[in-house]
Amino acid sequence: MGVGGVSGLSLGEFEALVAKAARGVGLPWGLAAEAGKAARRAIAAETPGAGEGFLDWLETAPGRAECPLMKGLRDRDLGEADAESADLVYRAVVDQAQTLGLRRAHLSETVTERLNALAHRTYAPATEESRARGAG
Amino acid sequence: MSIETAPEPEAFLRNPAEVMRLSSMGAFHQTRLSFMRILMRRLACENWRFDRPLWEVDANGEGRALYRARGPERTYTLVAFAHDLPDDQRSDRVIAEAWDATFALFDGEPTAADVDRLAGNVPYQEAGRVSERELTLSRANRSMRLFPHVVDRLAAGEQPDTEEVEAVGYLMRTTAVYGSGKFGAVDREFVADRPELSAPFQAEMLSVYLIRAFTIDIAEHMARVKNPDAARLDPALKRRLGVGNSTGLGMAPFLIKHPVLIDHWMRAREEGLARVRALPEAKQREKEAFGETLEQAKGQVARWGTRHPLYAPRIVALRDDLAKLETHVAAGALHGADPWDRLYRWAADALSDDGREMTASMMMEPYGHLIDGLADCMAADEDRHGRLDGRMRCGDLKALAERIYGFALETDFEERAERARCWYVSEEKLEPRLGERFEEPIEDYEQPLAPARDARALVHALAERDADETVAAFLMAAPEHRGAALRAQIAAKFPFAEIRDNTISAEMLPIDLLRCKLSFFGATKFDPRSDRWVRITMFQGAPLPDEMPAADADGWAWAG
Repeated sequence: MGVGGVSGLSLGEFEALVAKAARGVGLPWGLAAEAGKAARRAIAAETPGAGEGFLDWLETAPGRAECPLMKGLRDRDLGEADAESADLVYRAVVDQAQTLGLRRAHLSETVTERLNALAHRTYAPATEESRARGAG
Repeated sequence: MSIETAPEPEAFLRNPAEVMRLSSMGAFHQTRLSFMRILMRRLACENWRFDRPLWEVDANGEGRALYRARGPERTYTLVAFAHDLPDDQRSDRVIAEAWDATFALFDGEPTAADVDRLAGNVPYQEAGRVSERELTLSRANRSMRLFPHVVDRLAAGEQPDTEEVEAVGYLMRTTAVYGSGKFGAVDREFVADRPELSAPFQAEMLSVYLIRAFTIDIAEHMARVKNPDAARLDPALKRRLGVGNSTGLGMAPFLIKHPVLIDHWMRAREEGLARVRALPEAKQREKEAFGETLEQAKGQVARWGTRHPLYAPRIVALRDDLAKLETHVAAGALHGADPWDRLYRWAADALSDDGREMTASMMMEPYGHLIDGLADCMAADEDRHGRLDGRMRCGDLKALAERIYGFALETDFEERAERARCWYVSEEKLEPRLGERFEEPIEDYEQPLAPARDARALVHALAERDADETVAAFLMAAPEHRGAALRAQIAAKFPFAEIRDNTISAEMLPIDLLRCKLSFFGATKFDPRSDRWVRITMFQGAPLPDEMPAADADGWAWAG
């Protein structure tokens, strides 16, 4: 059983986690947001992952021209791929995200831990000063 | 229906470059299109039924209760957990870990096993998990001023002081109402096609409405613990009790992160105002309805208190504005042709930002038949509209960005004061915070919440490219501009999508963002406790569930 217990993560939580993880490895926010959206769409389509794994992608060469996200985005941005084939490229992005239900993301412990570790890089270390000044 | 009497409202739409300034957004008030009012109209019109199938609370105020709302097709149940919270643990801050009461809105009618499952999670809030059977997760704390007063008075067989009830306005304050997939709750996309949930934040508003009934029940319960013959709250006083809310920075980024949705909210409201301004004349009963709203508004503003140094003078000015407005109307301002357009222009010239915006809200009141249907236009398909058009030419993107972000191009972001602030998320509570860029080690963690600065950088980068190059090719070479390019394309299609202000300036007031969003909820009596958190009142004056369907299900909003 992975994060979120038996009911898994909501798609919104999964999208946010993937976006933060993508930002955590250094992607610009605009690309990281697209990675999150792609991951959400792949889960919602209940499609088993194919091609390169999402984590492998994140931990190797994200943001390069030949990476699946960049290729998928370029094709879709240009309208050269129809929505479905573009989404197939997106789906490749979540190869490691084992999806069991249409409406939820069920991730293995390992995948969850690695994604969380990457996402954690986007959080500023807490200081007494930030607690006193910045919090709402 | 008399939509044909509203010629060319387009011509009366306000300019987004003015409406979308923070100073303007921070002066908004509730309208007929506020989410609480959309909910209440539906609950009354569809004859929703309410009851409390479970109340198991002990003498310490610990236990659970269920509040059921039954509509024409579906039932929703608020699962409430009452806690015995030591006074020293009561905090409105998002970093709190215990509350007087915690809640989840369940989709349907929960079994005992469902309630047991929730009992192991809901009291822990962010540290627990809910499931796709739940729509919201929330919590509330007692008002340490009013709650004990009401309990003590009822226990003594008396009613609370009306002045005390009016001065506070609620027995409990919610400090967060999470929905839309947060902490495991169901994603909005799976329930958005239900008519009762299609308008924004309806599950959240229903949760708060049912929480309001709980706050009264728990106060009466605690009074009965002290004295089995305690008095019951006078129904008229119950109406005066809304639900408080304390909102901090966590809400502020929402308005920046959801440009298409914000456009739809703003556009519905602005379209409503334009329809009224386009009316060639005002009928006698419409003038009377406006006069009644103005009378109620004067009372509401008279009861609106705050000690915030920026807000206290604004409320004094607003009281003065309403007196001026009353004099102006009494002198015949609504007689003759184009009465509402003339009135709006007068207000924009003669009144403060708060007065102008309150006049705009009040002008929509007599015209439910022109306004209320716009509620159907306030939801947005953000996924569909959030796709970048890579075939656009760089020259065209530059031109539209220059048009939308003219204010940003005139801002000198080399000046420290123009980028003094930095939005970031701290590892401690995973909530957005606002820091000082040049005084704290936070810039490496900056969130993408400075569209003005980023748009300016985009325009400068585009100036270096061939105007005929596609945006897709540009973004392959410069992916760091993707977010700004997409925002510019969205703002070109949706005129009210983008805030026309610098959200990282030293001068920026986060409460302007909070106020804008809370006004769309239908909040009243904004009471900032600093420049970054604000207390409000919700549902004050509204009929209680046991009074529904009430004849005044929409007439209460200015009486709070």
